[in-house]
Amino acid sequence: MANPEPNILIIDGNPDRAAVVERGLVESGWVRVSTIGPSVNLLARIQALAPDVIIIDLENPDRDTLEQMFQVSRVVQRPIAMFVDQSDSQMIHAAIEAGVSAYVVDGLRQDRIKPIVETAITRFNAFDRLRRERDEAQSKLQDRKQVEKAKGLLMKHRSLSEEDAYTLMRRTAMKQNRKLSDIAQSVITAFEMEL
Amino acid sequence: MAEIVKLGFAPLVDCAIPVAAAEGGFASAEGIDLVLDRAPSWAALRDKLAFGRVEGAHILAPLALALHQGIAGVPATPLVVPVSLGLANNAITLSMELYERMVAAAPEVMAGPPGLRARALRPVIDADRAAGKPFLSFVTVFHFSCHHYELLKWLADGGIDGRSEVNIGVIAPPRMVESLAAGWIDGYCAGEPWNLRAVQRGVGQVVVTKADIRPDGLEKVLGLRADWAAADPDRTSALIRAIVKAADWCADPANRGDLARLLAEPRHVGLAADLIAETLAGAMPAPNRNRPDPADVGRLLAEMAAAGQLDLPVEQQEALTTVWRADLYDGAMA
Repeated sequence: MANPEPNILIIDGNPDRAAVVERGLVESGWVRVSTIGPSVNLLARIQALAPDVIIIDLENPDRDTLEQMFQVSRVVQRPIAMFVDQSDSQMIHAAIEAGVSAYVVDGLRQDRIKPIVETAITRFNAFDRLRRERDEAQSKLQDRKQVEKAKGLLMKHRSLSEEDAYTLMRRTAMKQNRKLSDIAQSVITAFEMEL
Repeated sequence: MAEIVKLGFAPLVDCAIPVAAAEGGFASAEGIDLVLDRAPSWAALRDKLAFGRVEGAHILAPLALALHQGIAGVPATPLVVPVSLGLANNAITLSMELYERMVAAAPEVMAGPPGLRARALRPVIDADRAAGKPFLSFVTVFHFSCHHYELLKWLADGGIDGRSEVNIGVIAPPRMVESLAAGWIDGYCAGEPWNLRAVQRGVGQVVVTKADIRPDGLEKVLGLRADWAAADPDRTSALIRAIVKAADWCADPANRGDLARLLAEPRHVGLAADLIAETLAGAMPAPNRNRPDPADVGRLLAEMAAAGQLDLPVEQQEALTTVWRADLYDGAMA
């Protein structure tokens, strides 16, 4: 083989995740990586890039297009679904869990593909974790804003000190076994209805 | 304690039955907590079923056979089919340009029965070939699909070999209209509302509907993992009853408005309720059509063979008819 480095193509509707996966692969030493997003002329793009390995998110609707293409195309070298080879069921389940699927040109050795797919899995999981953390941080910020707003309403309309307003809400939350932000939301709703 | 059962579905109008079973109380009445898993592609649905992420799915009938037989791109996954889910109202839509070329080339054919209109494609294909132009390109929703066989049959009835005289690919239905408008493809076979959409936007013309190609052709089924279905027969019977009762509810025109609103939610189909209501009319199986008919398997296998997908000796074909389990249906409904 003239070029021993496999040519990897990432297809992902989420450009941020594609970038995270691409960086992961490049940092691990696979430099021939390209990415494309959703595309109406997928066949032409794939023909031009001639990948040995395609990493595509499991839920991507383009997978149906890819599979038909691989079945009939005479122009594209026929990649097969990674899931066909069941020799490593642990990796397959990890891939499905992470939302990764892969297509590999027939003949590429399993031991060369495995680390590529594993890197993609790790990166998908890392991306997921980052997104979850960001969502949590955002919702925490939102909660804090709610509590501040409720506290302000209590101070203004019930002439409570800041500390008393906070203590009142906290005590109610504990008594009703609810989250402080839920109580804050109830307070806000109650005042909105009065107004 | 309700049993949790996970079913995969594709976001199409005919997912109505599992959705109604889960949301309309039919599953909980049978002691089942039905959890639906939306899969945006048939490949994703197949993977989830093959690797046990779901116990069953609302699935293309030929894909169920392909998966069972081990030719669907993943290891063979033994399935049982205890309920038929729909006949669907597919149609073939052509680009305005191709439709007009056919009318110009053979006006008498285009004025005749829709099932034979592909005859008007012959002069178009011959002219293209003489001019050295590339093949016409059509797409369907998946290669193991009735849409694929309906397109092939319509072409064949017009004397055209779909496997050597045109290109047939696959595109996810939500992208078909824009692909037609952009000129990437010349036509497609899909369920509603994707034909209606192209006509409304003025980029395509419906040339034939399923009723004129393959009127009794089965479209979707409930496919269950065989190991799961056998592990607890009472649970399987309860699921079958929930699905069949939901199907009866869906078939009642009085419920169409409620059903359309339910399907319109983004977690189900996610399209406008009025568009869904319009397409619901022809999508549901007639009552009593939910019992799996083993004769459907023979018809499907003949179509898969004609499409070059699977060519089995007779005894293996007979073995495959046992995937369709009318006995499970009868046992549950007795």
